[in-house]
Amino acid sequence: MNDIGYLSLVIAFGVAAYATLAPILGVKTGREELVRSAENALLALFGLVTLSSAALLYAFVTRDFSVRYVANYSERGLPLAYTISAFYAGQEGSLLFWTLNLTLFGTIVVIQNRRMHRALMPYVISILSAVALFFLTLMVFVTDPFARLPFTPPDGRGLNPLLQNPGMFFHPPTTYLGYVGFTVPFAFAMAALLARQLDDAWIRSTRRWTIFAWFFLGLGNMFGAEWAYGVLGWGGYWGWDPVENASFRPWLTGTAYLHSVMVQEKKDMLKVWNLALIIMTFGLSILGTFLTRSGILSSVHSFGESTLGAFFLAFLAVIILGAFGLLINRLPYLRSENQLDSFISRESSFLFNNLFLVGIAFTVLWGTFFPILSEGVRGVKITVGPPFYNQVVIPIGLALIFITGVCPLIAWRKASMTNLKKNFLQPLVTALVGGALLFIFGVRHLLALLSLALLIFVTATIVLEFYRGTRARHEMAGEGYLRAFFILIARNKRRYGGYIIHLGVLMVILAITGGAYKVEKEATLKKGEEMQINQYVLRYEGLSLYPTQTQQVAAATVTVFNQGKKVGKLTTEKVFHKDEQQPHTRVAIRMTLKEDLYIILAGFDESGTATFRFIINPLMVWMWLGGFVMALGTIIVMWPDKRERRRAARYALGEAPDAV
Amino acid sequence: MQFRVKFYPVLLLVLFWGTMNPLAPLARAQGLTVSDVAKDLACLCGCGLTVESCTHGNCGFAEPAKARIKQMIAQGRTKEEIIQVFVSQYGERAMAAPTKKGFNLSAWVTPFLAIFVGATLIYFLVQAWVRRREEFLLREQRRMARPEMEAKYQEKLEKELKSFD
Repeated sequence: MNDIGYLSLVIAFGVAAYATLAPILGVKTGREELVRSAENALLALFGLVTLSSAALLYAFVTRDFSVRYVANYSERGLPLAYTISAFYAGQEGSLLFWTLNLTLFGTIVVIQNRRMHRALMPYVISILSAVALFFLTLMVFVTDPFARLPFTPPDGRGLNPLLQNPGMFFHPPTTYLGYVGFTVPFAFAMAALLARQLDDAWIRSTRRWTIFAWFFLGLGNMFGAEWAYGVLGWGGYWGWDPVENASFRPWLTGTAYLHSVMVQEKKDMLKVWNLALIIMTFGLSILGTFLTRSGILSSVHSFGESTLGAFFLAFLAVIILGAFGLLINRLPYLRSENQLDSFISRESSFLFNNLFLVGIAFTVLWGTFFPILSEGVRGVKITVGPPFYNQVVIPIGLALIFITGVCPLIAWRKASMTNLKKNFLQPLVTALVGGALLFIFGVRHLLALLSLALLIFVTATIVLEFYRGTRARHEMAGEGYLRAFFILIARNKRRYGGYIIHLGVLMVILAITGGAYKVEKEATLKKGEEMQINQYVLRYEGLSLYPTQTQQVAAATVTVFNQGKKVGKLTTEKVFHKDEQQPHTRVAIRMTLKEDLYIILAGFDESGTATFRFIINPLMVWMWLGGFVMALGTIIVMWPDKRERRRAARYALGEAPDAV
Repeated sequence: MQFRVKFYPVLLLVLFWGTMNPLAPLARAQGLTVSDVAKDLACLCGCGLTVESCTHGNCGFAEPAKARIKQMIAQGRTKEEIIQVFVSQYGERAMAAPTKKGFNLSAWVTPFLAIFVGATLIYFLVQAWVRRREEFLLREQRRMARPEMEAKYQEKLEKELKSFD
């Protein structure tokens, strides 16, 4: 099977090279059959990469430790689920997984566009195949997933115990789906430039792809945060690690893109900016992949022995220079008669939304590379970590929250005083009164207070929007309020789904704001001793030591009393894996809507005395609930809509568009 | 109007119980903890995180660093003093964020400068678009105000269209 796997990659390499060149040749010579043939080649490519992936998975499941990658990332005692996730735990497998997703998406694009976008498709096929060709080149010539060891070890080295967690099962594939997903809108954007078809047909047809990629990248970040919080045991969820930052940046520019394309669809403006944004987003996705493999930055995510940095840097340079060069070359075709009625309008609020999103992305990029710059200029190594990001990103983030409230409700073209009063007076008063009450009731942390007041403002604007829409349906169609509410959403999926996503984002920000009131205590306790943190009294009940098949576990149990009332027992563990020098911690979390009580077993001695870190993380659960609400909103936004599909199809077939 | 009267107190209550209530009891000041200091010190084991958030269970750098921080807190040293001890031993890279002086200041200023430049650009861009719109509207107004010109152009257009046939 291993030989079949490698052979499939070699053949796929040849097929990808053909699918990259044939469509361009087809366009140049006017031979449509070459384009069709390249489309079929892309389908074959997916088949070949699937076969190769199946072979690698088979090697994992059958514990074929003659394959170096399998021996490095699995062992006999590894549960099946983590044996499967080991597929993308290392460099070679993650490259294969990237390619598998890319060729799958390519296949879907081919099937979707058999009759549509015929002028764009040759270039789309060529670009998707070229990206696949790059990854296949790495796997065939540089880092073969099927490389053999000179001998077959009796067992593998096993999967890092920290990666044996449900969060880590989902985090890499969802993140990759996001990264890879952005290739499709990028390919269409480049195709539009190459084919000089620069209306917004490509935007309409790739809207779902963009939302799909954006959603999965966000979900990947969320799974990563959940994993860090529940597994790493330091009481936080986001460490501003260079690779966390790497996946955050394209999410930010992708968010900016999703908003600014609305201006192009509605007003035929910002064409150049939208193209620049999608190039940046795809470029930043590749940069993220480069950073994990370059060794230029220290990160918990790095593939230690990677040698692929130079390849990715060259690939990134080609993408950025090629794409921006093409964009500059096509500027004469992108001129639009930009006109605005007023500075106070939705159009300009979108521009500021983009400014803050791209501003945060820039800050994160700047912070990531500043240590290299500093070393180059001053010859001094410095660190740019969480205190920098928190101090710089938070003020920009607050401005972004404000714009999130303004953007959806301010009128297109020109906002009159009546429009402003109607949409913003009540939310503004609510926020001011709310902020004052929060202050009176003891919230004195300035940034937290500001953040909460802004959250109230934006929530009020959204609730008001839902209320007005529901009431209008109730009055005009005579529907009951509940029915009117659901029909309102069903008939305007994009708009109200968007509001729901905003609500989810607000919940996430609420959790982040709660961090301003994080409380932490460390205590060394003997069996039966108690300590207090806020309203909680915690009694240490003792330590138990026991072995499992692959681990030695030390488990400390703590009884929790909340305001004098016993609310349960929590167990936190230190786990010593047989092949790992470093133990890892399993934290205990008591989660409520109000706060998390988070207990870490920091150490213990032979007498059973244990050292704990007790943390209270206020409002933490709202982060995960916010993630669910964002997912719900995204599903609504992406749900098939007949009217929209008909409109997009008309665009794609080159028919006159409807008035928007 | 009836709705507004009912709606706002309810909204206020919901929002405040969701946000204010859990925070109020936590607002009191806490003493200096290991975490307060550890979050501002970089872990130098190669993880790229802070002493507080290093992912290694028994990190060769973070664990001894935490023990030292604990000891120094017990001795009554301030956060700044403790950080200075680490900086004098390991250099600037021991701090989790650059200082706000000299070349390092550019790390802090550049993002805000970029936002400022971007905002200025947007301002002038939007002003130009607004002016363009005003000029367009003015042209339209003038055109509409001169029906004889309109008739003249109409006649010319019809002639040209005929010549196409």
